[in-house]
Order: sequence, then structure tokens, then C-alpha cells
Amino acid sequence: MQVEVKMFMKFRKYLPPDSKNDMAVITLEEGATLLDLRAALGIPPDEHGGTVIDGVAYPEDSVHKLKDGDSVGFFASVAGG
Amino acid sequence: MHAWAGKILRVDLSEREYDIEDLDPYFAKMYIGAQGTATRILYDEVDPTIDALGEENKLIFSTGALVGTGAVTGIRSVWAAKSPLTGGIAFSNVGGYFPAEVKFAGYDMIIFEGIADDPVMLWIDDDEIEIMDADHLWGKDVFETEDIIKSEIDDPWKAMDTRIASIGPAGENLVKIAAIMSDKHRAAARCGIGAVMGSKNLKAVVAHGTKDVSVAVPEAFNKSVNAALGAIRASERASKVFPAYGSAGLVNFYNEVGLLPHMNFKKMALPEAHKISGQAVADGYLIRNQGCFSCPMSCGGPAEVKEGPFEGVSHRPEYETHALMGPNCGIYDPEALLKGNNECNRLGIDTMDMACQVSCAMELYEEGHLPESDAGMKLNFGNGEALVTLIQQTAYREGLGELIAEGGATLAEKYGQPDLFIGVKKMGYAGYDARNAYGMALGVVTSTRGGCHCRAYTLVREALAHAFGPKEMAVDPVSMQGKAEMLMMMQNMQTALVDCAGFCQFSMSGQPPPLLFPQLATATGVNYTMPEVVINGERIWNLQKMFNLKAGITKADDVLPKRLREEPATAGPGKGKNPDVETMLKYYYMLRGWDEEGVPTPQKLAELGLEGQGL
Repeated sequence: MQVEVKMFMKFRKYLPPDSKNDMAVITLEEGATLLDLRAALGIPPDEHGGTVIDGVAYPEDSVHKLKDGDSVGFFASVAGG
Repeated sequence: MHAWAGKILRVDLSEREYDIEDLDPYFAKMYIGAQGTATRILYDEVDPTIDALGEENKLIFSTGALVGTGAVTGIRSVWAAKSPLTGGIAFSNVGGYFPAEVKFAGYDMIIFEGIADDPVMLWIDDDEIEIMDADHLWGKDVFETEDIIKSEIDDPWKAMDTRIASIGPAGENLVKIAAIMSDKHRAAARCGIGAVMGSKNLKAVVAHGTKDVSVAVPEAFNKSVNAALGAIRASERASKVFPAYGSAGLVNFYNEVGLLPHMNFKKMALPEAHKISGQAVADGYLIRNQGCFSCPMSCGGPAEVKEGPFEGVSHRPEYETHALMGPNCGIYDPEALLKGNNECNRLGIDTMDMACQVSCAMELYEEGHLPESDAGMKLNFGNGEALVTLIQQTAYREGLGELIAEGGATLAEKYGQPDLFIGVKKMGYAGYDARNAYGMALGVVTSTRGGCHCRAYTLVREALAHAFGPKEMAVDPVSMQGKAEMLMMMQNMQTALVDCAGFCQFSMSGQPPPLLFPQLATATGVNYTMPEVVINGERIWNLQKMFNLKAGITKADDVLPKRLREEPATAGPGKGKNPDVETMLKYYYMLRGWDEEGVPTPQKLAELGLEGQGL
């Protein structure tokens, strides 16, 4: 399956080469989780941050199963208002 | 007294006289500072039914209790009055450096009464107080005003240490969304507080102070400050991400979860948002960081557009300005945003209300209600030059600016579409779409100063905790379950422990309440307990509510804008739904000890030591 990733702030450095607009499409095996996606992108476990999958926020260690066509955003921990 | 300077400067502008009064220690303990002490004085001394721009209104500058102590981010203070925008209580929070100079000069509060017959400024230099003519400053913008005043100080070192709060043309012209600006770019923005200053013919307040601010238990205070600094340093969020991107670091995240409004709250979660995010401004325009007094986080800073129609040096906008002046106006050009922010600061206008008026005007225009012949320009969503023109027109009450200057739904009503003004109690709605955070929806509706998000930042639990932790803090953003309880607790605590103490709300990402409380207790020497501080917040909240009720603001005004009630969310966790604020409100009133009409009961008032203050 394929998922779209959108990388923000410090996570931009984990984009595959030649990515445009801080986005990329990543191919994963069926049933892959968010943790599998992090591993596929080469994001080390101590690079902390949060994610948003199709409009819903999840923590970095979520075992949420991804599905084909998901859009996943990676964010550094933000604050303010 | 410790932490508090112990003095109130009371200025009679009509008579050009002043008095210095003692700050009562019991009063200080109960109302702490900033909006707390200002609320009680307004409640006791100002009839809520008066004309907010008349002689009877009082304008109060009130410092947070910890301003000048060295408490971490201890700088936040308020300007307060009866609001010409909402008709209710006004308090507009501000940081920068001006509040510290007032405290160093020896004053916790300044109360302005009456109206000067000609433009004046107040000069405070420790014990030297002078009410001076300001004819030469009237008509000048905020930046010119500060530059002229500083150029008139002979000693350049003293000029550097002198801080100024002033109004621009918007305040002078009684624009009901005018701000009081200090340190050029720090805004006491909301509630039309700048118009109150303008109505008093008060152009500026200049402060220079050299006195010490003492703390009660220095060793314990230093320990509590070091603990807070250590926690901030250990937090990537507070020490790295926040300084790098400012509060506008939230733009992309909130866009993804459907909280960032687009095009007058018609749309959400559009990919164009990334073009105008805090990241985009930091990457392309930020020159350096610049912080407020006593802040290790330094989230502000100058930003430059090097060429083109929006050329110039501005200041990095906050999240709210990004959200409302950017995507909510269909503007995805960061250069237009920087220019719009700068024009608001220069002319002394609240960026949030201004942007809410512009997005409303743009929708009126696009839907064919507002003809181009009236606007004098094309007003389509995304038109950055129109944004800048409308800001300038508003400051001088020209063209459509005459209607915008009245605030609220005045412009929308003129064109027969009052519901296209998205706001609460005539104040433009904060930059969070209520349809994806029901606690925030209830929070904005119940805020005692209008459509404001600042009184309880429920998104810490409804959005941020889901992605960034702590997990146990996360609550379902689109459930009504537990929202009234959560909100009330946050409102009471934030009012007293954060706002009245003078901490910056942004700093809570690094120094949570258990690190704030010891700083307050050891600096003031008041043997507070946490519950006592929270009850102080509840007392202040109830007094603000009573002021509003007496001013004629009722349950009928605790209402979400029609669009957010009736048009379902198109993205995010609340997709397809709307919040039922009416139901949450009933429970909220009950929890607060208010009757079904939202009026505090005599029992509740008595419990808070406010016997006899009912309607």
C-alpha cells in the first residue's frame, strides 16, 4: 500500500531525496503501523514528535494501522495559541 | 510588601492631578494583580451601564503580581476598562518591557479617570510624575510616537531604558477595535481598549523606573525559578520548537486537525495553509529572535520582506494573526500577512478583530452582498492589498473603515447578513474552528470578554496532548463529556495562577502550574494553598460575570456563531457534526453555581465572599 507523508519542522530531514513541497509517497506492506512508517522513513526512536493521520492526531508510538491512501503528517511538539 | 510595589498611581486627567494610594495587602492577596485587581476596582468604581467612551469610564493599567521579580516570564499585565466594543468588561493582556518599568518605578497599578481637555501623555520617572502636553504626538502612528518620545530624552542610556505605551490613529479616532501598543509591537489588543485611551485624550504613558522589587523568601524563590528554568530547558517544545517557530508553529498542525479556519470559517484543512505557516515565516523572513522581559523562550522577533508591494520590516505574527489574517481571509502569501500585521501594529489596531472584519467583508463581496462600488476595490478572498487598504481605512474611519471601526456585526448588518460576522459578544472569533474542539467552543462562548480563546486553553487537552502527550491528559475533542468541568477548572486556575500572577500563558508548555505556584508563593510571601489561588480565580470570574450582567450582557449573548452551530465540519475529528453548546452551557452554569439564566446565585456569591453583589 502507499501512504502520503507530510513532514514539518525538524522531520523534513527524513524526507526521501528529491521530495517536493515537504511531501512524499511511501510504499509499505499491508497492515503496517505508524511505527513501521517511522522505521521506513529512518526516523530514530529518540526523535520525538506527534502525527496526524487523516485529520486525527496520534502519539508517536501509536500502533494505529495505516491503510492505503492515508495522509500522515509528522510534527515537532508545538505550543502556543 | 514583597513582589507587589504596594502603590497605586491614580491620575485625574480632567484636573491634570494625581494621587498615590497604598495597595491594601488583603486586597492584593485576594485579587493578586493584572486582571484580578483591575476587575475588582472596575466593579467597585465604574457603573457598568455608562458610555465606555465617556468621562465616567476608567482606564486601568495593572501589572501582574510577579512583574519585575525575575519570576520566569513574569511580565504579563493588563489594560482594563469598560469595553466600547462589547459593552462589558475589558481587559487586554500585554507583555514586552513596559510593565516592568512601571513596577520598577514603584507602582502596581495606574488608574486614569476623566478626560483631558487636550492631548496629554503621562510621564513616570520613579517618584517624578508629570502630565505633559502631547499635541505634537497626536496624529502620529505608534512607531513615530515612540521614536519622538525617546528622541526627546537627553540621556541615550535612559532613553533605552524608558518604555512607552501609546495609541495610534485608530485609538485617537475611537476605533472600537483599537489597541494600546507598547514596545512598538506588543499589543494590548482586544476589547477596543485603545479607543478608551483615545477617548481620554491620553496619547502615551512613558515609564522609567530604578527601584528594586523584593521577594519574600529569596532562597526559596530562586530555587523555584531555577526549577522552572530547568524544566523549560529540558523541554524540546519550550526551548527549541517554540523559539524557532513562535506560537504560529501551530498553524500546520491545527490545519491538519481541522482547527485552522479558512475563508471566514467556511472551509477547513486546505493544503495551502503550509505556505503561510509559522514555519514559512521562520524559514523565509525571520531576522532574529526577540523576547519579553524575564523570558527564556523569546518567541517574537523582527521579520523582513525584502522587496515587492509588502516590502519592509515587521514583527513575527502570533498564531491568531496568522490564522485570521491569513487562511481565514483566503490569504496564503506570508508577505501580505507580515505587512498586515505591521500596519495593525503601526496604526494601533487589534489584528484579530481587524482580520475577522476583513474576512467578513470578503465573503460579503464574493457572495454579491457588498458591491465593488461601495468597497472601492475588489475584495475577493486572498487579496492581500485589499487587506492592507482596509486596515488603513479603519484607522482613519475612511470608506468601509467607518463601518469596520464600529466593530462587531456593524458591517455585516449594513449589507443584510449579520451572521457573516463570526464573533461572540461583538468580538471577532479566535482562530480555532469550534466544530473540531467542543471544549474550546464552550470556552469562547463563556469568556467574560467576548469571542476570546485566552481564558482557558482547552486545546492543550483536546488537540495537543493527542499528538505530543502527556497521553493521560488527552480528551476527545468532539465529545461533550466532561468539557464543562474541565473548562471551569481551567478558567479559574488560569485566571488566578497565570494571568493575575503575570506569567505568560505560552510558558505553560515548559513550566506547568506546579512550577508556577511556588514562584507566586515565595515571591509574595502569602501563605497560599493551590485551592485558595483557584478560588481567587473563581471570585474574579464571578465579578467579571456580574459586571457583564449589569451591563446588559446575558445568556442570549453566550451563543456560538450560526455558521459554527449549523454548517457541519468538513474535516477533522468532528467531520459532519456541530457542537451543541446550548446543552454544555446548561451544565456549565449549574457547575458554576449560576441559575438557568447564567446569573450567579446569592449562595455562590456568598461562598466567594461577595455577599450582596447580586443583581
